[in-house]
Amino acid sequence: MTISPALPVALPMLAAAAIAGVRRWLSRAVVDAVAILTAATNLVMCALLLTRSWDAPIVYWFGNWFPRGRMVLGVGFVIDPVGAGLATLAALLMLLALIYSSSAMESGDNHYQPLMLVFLAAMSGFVLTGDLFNLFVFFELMSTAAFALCGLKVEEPAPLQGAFNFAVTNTVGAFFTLTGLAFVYAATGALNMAQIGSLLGSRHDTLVIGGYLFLITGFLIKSAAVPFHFWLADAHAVSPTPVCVLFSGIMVELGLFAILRVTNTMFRASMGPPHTALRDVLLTVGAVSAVWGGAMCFAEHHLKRLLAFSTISHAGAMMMALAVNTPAAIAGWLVYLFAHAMAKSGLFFTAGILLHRLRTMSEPLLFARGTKLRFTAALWLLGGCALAGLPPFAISLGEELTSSATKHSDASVVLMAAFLLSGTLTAAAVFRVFMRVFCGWGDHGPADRSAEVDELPEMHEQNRVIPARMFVPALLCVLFGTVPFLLPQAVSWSGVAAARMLDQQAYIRVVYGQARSAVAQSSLAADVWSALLHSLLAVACGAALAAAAVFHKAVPRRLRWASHMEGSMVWMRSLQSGHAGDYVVWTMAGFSLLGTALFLLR
Amino acid sequence: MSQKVRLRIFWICAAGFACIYFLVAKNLPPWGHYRGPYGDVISSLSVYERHATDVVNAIDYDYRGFDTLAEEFILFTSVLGVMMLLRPPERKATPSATAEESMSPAVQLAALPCFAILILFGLYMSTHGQLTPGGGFQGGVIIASAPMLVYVAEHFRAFKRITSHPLVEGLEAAGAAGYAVIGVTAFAAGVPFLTNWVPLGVTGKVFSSGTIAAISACVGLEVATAFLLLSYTYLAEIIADAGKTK
Repeated sequence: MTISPALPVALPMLAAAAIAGVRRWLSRAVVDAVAILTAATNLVMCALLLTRSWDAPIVYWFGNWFPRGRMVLGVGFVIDPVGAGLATLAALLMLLALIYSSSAMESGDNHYQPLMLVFLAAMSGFVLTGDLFNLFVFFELMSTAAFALCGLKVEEPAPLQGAFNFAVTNTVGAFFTLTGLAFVYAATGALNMAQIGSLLGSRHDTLVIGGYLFLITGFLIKSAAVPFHFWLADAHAVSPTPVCVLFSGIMVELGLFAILRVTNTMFRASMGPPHTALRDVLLTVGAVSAVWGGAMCFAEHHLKRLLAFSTISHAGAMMMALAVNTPAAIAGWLVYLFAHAMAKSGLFFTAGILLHRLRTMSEPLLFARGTKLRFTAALWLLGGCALAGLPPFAISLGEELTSSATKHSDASVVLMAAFLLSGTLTAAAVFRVFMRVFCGWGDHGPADRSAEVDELPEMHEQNRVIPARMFVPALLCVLFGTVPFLLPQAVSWSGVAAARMLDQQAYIRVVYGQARSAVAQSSLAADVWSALLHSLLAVACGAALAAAAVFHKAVPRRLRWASHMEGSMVWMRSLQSGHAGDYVVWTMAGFSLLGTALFLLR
Repeated sequence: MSQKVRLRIFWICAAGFACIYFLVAKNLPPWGHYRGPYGDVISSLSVYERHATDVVNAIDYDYRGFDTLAEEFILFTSVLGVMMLLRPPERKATPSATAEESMSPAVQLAALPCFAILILFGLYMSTHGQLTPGGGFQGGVIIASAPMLVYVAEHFRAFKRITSHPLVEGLEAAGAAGYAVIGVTAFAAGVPFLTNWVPLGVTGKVFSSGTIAAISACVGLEVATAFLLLSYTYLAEIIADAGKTK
């Protein structure tokens, strides 16, 4: 029996409705069990779809509406290895998050689990679909579930504020995307991505560029690119730990995926080479995000916000891979995405354990209080090394593949520098926390009032020993993060998946049921030694920076750059004002800049 | 950033946005020059293929039914989210005295026939979507407005008795799940998800167009109960706040 591609969406929806309908009468254990079982089933189904999509993409027409000639009547899923792989990753993270939160975490009278399941259904649909409007609908569904999950801890005003900023900025983003969709429909009269792609061809006029610009602005907001990133830190600071894991581990990356999907299925011939405007713009946005996020990460002392800024930095680095958009770069993007998802999820779970044990997320308040938590300390340190890409963690492998795609071009230097800065700054922040909290070195560090918020306990119970449902997900994330490095085929597999993703003509042929493309072979190989060298450099720089901040008294007064970076980036931090109106202003500014650049460079 | 500075920067950026928007919109195909054959093709096909005289519903619940399933779940999720965010702490136990006052008998008398008409009209809308403009979304909203009349003519407590019943939540979930279940039944016939596999009936009759009518009814149930839950949750919040400030 083959699994229907509709099930990864339909099953969590059904389970969510079933739980929500009778949630008053169900015990917590039953609700948790149903949710976990559903996520696990989704994981298996998506993994099976991944293996099935390997030979040729699966095309699935809902309602049995096959295209008539060149015209697509209904909605179709087009499942390629990248889409199925991301659906698998989403299900995996959801499973870990639900295990982490089971039995003891505040669930808002059993509202939390159905919302999580709808979130999962939306993410699955988002990556599997081959229809532009369907993509938008799942984008909305994903956002709706995410807004609510973000505000789960309603007893405090802060979560509602964070959820509100998140909702406002992302709804503005949805308006941009919907406007872009309307422009694209006006230009082509089609909603299926393959049909739009074949109708647009290499058309490169104002309407097409404008439609593309509006479309991706919404996705740029979702992927937290500077200056659209402000909501992300606010949302992460207030969300429960498992929700943070999903936001950072997969939701932000799905914004990047949408840009990749939209660009390659519809606009590859019209916006891609020989036009370089898009490449340059995305490269700039990515580089700025990587550095800005890294600097803000190092200047932050609330652990969840710190990790959130690191996500902005890494999403920027991943955006640069999208900008290059060659099979090698996208293969690197895939490896990077997986490794980052695992590293960041592991760190968030570990932060959740800290919150559970020590009741705060503020670095100054946590000073030297984690010295007895050996196991948590090890997880945190490994997470930091993973962010810097130290083998066997695979981020550096992704960086290496991506930069190998730009050898001998001017982009190569920008790429290397941004990767190094992103890895160094984010790892330095994590190492600094490690030294202060777990080793008790140095002093409290600079006072940071914004980090000292009252944290409500997430869990209903107190225990001396960390329960297995909390540390096992963290440990698994750290272990899974090494898979692409230890599995020798991983690089060539991602090469094949990336080559599939980028072949617009093959995609269109498959959707129209014509010749199935032969399995692409990939001879991609990463230079492991170079990756090792780069990551060692990032780890060394990060550790040095962290040590310089922690032992700032030992550094000559004139050379205290590290503590300066840590304590007084006032104007950068003042932009993060927490006012939704400000964030919308920056969104408009970013859109105007982006649009001007795309139109002037055309 | 002060409000003044914020607005000033906003207007500069908004001017940039407007320039780009009008530049792109100016290049749209001229008014009336519709590019795609999609609309024309569906208009001519839907009666023949689906026995549905209302083309909009044929697209919503059949041709692009999968989109509508997700849209329905957006509503479902929004209601779930609102109910979670405004979940009642203990303070809502004391509604104010205004929650008890009813309107004059004249208003109550006028409301009674309106109540019946609204329910009837809503049911008609939900069940005739395949034939005439309307359908589950519209019909559901109309049905949900009937208990509002109870609130207007009677008092909050009477409204609460209808809308806070646990059954409402169950019905809402059943409406949402019903759509997906109809989609899954297609597997039994060996066809893809949401395929309209049941007999299509005679064009123009109420029991025609197969799953379109069934889905429309499910959506009607979902939307009606969803709006009841929403209005109850918001009203309870407002009334609790009013009671607090007294």
